[in-house]
Amino acid sequence: MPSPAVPITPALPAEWRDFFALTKPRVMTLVVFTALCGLLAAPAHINPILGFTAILCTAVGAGASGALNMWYEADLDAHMKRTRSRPLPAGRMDRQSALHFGVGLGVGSVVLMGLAINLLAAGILAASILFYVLVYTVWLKRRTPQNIVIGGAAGAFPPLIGWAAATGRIDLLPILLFLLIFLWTPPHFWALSLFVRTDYAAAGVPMLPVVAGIRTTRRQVFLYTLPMAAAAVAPWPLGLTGAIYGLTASLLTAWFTLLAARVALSRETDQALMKPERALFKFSILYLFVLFGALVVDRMVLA
Amino acid sequence: MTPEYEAEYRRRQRARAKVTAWILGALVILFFAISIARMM
Repeated sequence: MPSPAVPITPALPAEWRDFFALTKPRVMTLVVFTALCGLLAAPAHINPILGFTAILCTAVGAGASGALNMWYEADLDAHMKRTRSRPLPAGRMDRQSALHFGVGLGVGSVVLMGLAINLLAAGILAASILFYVLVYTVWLKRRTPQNIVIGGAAGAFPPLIGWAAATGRIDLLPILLFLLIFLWTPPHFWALSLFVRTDYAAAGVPMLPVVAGIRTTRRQVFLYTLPMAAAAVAPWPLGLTGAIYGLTASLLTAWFTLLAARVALSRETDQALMKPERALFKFSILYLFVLFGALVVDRMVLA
Repeated sequence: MTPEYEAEYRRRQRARAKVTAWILGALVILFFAISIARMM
């Protein structure tokens, strides 16, 4: 018996704004800034158009990582207040579009970087995208409370990319900048995860406060701050920067350490009242921006 | 498909096509500029 004809209504195509949201524009600002600082701090001149292209490729690569992260974590994002309004969990876009968009951006950014800039910068960009998507998002995030520690490396690549784009090589200073962001990530994210831990628990993400408890996380925040402080100040005594960076890094890092100590000593368990954690989280963002800005000013003065 | 639904469908298609066209135009200019910069 023939079935009655049912009119098929095609799903609405996603808005371009939703594609833009997939690239995590707020995260991208920090990526662009640190990559630009790596490029400007490098002891080499780069044509402004090529410099712009290198930063653009880095930004687009970061956007690709964000899009692929949202593609893979759509189910997880639906359970968290902070992320449930993203295009995929909100149902404004189908998953396949997000996957195609992410892969397209990633391949395009690496190929353009390789053709226009150099293979080293393209290789590091490719490694950072693959590291963020495969190692952090797919492998670690749902399996271990150390997800942020190792995943932090993905966010630490941009200054290396900027430096490699300008010079075609890797030196000690960009490695220290890599270490700085790598070691900054745990205190930054664990401070956040302390006051949104119920969200992570609801989504089943094994963040440290969910798995090991609040006290352990607070202690870890402080413990990771110490090597981060060493990496932040190290370029000055090693003669890689001057006093402008050295003094700025010393002062800001002392304040960061103080805030981390306040977190470590806090006994508050009510998320809404976790002021030291919120203060450290907010300051940690400002810290990285000012530190990298000081680095560029210092290197330009030295040059 | 209701007329309102179709109108919204077309509006989104047009908006995406416009953004794609702008991006392609920008890439053409960028590739040209990169070529000149690499030759200098």
